[in-house]
Amino acid sequence: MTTSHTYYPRSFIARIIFCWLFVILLYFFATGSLLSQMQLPVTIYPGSDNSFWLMHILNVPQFLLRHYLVALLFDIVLTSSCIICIFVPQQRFFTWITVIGVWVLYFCYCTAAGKHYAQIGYLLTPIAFLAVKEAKFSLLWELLRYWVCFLYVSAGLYKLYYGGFADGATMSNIVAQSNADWLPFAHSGWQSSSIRYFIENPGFAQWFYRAATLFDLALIIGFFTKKADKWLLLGLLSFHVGNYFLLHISFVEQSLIFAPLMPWHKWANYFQSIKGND
Amino acid sequence: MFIKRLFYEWRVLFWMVLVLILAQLFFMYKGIENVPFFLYHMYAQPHGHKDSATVLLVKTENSYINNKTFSNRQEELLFNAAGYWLSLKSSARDTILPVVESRFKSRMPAAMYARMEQQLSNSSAAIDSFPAWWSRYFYSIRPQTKEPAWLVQTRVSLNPPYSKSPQDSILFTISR
Repeated sequence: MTTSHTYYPRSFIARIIFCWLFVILLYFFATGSLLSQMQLPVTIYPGSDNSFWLMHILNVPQFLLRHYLVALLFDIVLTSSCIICIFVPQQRFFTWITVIGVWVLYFCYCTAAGKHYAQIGYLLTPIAFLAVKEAKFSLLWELLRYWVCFLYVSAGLYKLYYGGFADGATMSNIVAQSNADWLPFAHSGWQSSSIRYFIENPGFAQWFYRAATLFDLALIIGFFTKKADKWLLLGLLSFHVGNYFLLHISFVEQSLIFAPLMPWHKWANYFQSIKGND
Repeated sequence: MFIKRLFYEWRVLFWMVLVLILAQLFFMYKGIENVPFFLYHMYAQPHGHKDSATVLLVKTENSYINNKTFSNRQEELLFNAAGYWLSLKSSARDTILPVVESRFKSRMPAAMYARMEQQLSNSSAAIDSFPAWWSRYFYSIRPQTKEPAWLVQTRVSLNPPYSKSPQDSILFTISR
């Protein structure tokens, strides 16, 4: 069957995405949370997740977290592979190493921190680059875009299904409980005033929760058209900025999840035209 | 339509995606967490009002360290891990064991089951050495802390003026 689809510029996107991932790894380094910086954690948290169980039964997180030199080697290999993916995007070997590396790092970090985190943008986005040919990469990239849309739509549906949306004070209670360790220290400033206002005005705060649910649900538009992607992206960004200011949830790791909604064709053409002018 | 395009252009991926979609729906229906089948239900349930909350803080001789001066990842590694350690410490056996038991005890040979239990749970030695690890990690990210420090558990009122209880319970001394 012949197709008339425009393929995504894989090398161009790969360079930017792996640069982005590299910045995330630098953030991990700066915050002392690469494997070798965790000071050999002693407790493990497999939770009730079967994939985590499998990893622990295979002894993977325990081995990596309890052997400093192995952890250091792991960090070096992961970071080097990521850098290689920036400079040599048309290969599969180092992409595999990077993808496996970030997933293993995620398993180890979660088990050491005692909680399984939902900051997964840096895990999902690099997967598309396992396809080297542009035709196959384009399919994976689109698939990733649908996956991202699905995740947020499901988050919105869960809020409807479990009743958070219909409740009258969920947002103010979430804000209060998430900031419990911060409130005694925060007596002034606009962030502190805003958070206190949210806690003390549940009806007002709940409309933010509902707006966030609608932002989540709006991603369903992404299943039917790409024309609204920039608005969906703006909605997602606002959602995460709101989370950051009200709940102190950073989205550095999650930020890579925005990538499939970005206008890559437009940017590639722009850079191509600059190159042509040179 | 994308799925039709996938069928014609990359048949293997098409079938894989179909299986993954079914698996995702199955896990969502059963409410089972299975990475990479993420269940994005954070903050989806109604949260009731609480008058106060238990928090963990680092206490120094003259004050307390604001947890938000740590990065998100440091805060998670320090305080979530400490919360989990507290739950392990207060239980007679690892909190994961009843779940392991219900899923696998009658379904595999005893030796294999024992090995699985060992791999998925924390030994008492690991639980006992947690304060030493915590202190090591704390000083690796806060080497400038010179004065004596303690990890304490306390309560914070969730009603104005959101004050901290004057009573702290010391969990351990953060030793260099």
